[in-house]
Amino acid sequence: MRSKVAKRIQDETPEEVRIFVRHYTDIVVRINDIMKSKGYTQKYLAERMKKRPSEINKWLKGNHNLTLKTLAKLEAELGEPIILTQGG
Amino acid sequence: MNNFVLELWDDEGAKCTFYTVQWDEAEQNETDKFFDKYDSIAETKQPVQELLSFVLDSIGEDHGAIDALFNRFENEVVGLPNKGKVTVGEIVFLYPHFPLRLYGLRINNRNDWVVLFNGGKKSAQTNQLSRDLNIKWTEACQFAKRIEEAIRNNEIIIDSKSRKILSVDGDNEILL
Repeated sequence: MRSKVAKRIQDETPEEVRIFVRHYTDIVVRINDIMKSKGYTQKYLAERMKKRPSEINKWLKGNHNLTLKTLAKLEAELGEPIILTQGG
Repeated sequence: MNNFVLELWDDEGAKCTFYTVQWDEAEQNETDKFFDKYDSIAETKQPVQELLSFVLDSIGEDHGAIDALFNRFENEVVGLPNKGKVTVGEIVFLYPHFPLRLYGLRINNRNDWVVLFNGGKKSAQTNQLSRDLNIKWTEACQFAKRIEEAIRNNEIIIDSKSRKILSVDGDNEILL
């Protein structure tokens, strides 16, 4: 069962919007998971990356558009792949 | 507080079932009101589509209402007849300057059950200063307080296997 309003809006939603939201959310969840498994806090990550904690907070709390460059920096620091591509 | 019905909103996702609330004698539930309202405004049409995808695809289907996706606040409720603490959460698509906020209650702190309420547009620096949001926040706290009370008093039964909430009579429609 799905709300009729939700169903209607979902049917009108362009596929690319849904793909974007799912990918973006997967990335945010993946970063959070890696940080948790390594026991990293935002403050610790900020120190290691020589950034202000507020900047790291922006990256992880959705106040900053996660560009590929930002993701590469994070991936280098976290030491784990954030985005896996097929055949990569 | 007036009576309201706790009813199913979406149970098609693999990870999370969503409930909503509807004021007794209202024509529409609170979550449909929210999505309908902002879907009809040109500037929030795309954010509505993104937020709905976030709710149904990312939370409902892919991840459940995990901490990273569901901001929880334990708040002292101010302005309600009975003060107390409630654990209303905010569903925010974590994208820069995302304008919409939708409130919800994660039942028993689990990732697989959320009651969605209403929400609004963040029109000021803080939620408190966004007039429309503040009203919906207070209302969400009222709903949440009553639902938490009903769980504590065993007025409603939570069936973990089917991810369903039932009244003590086993009824799907729950009047609180």
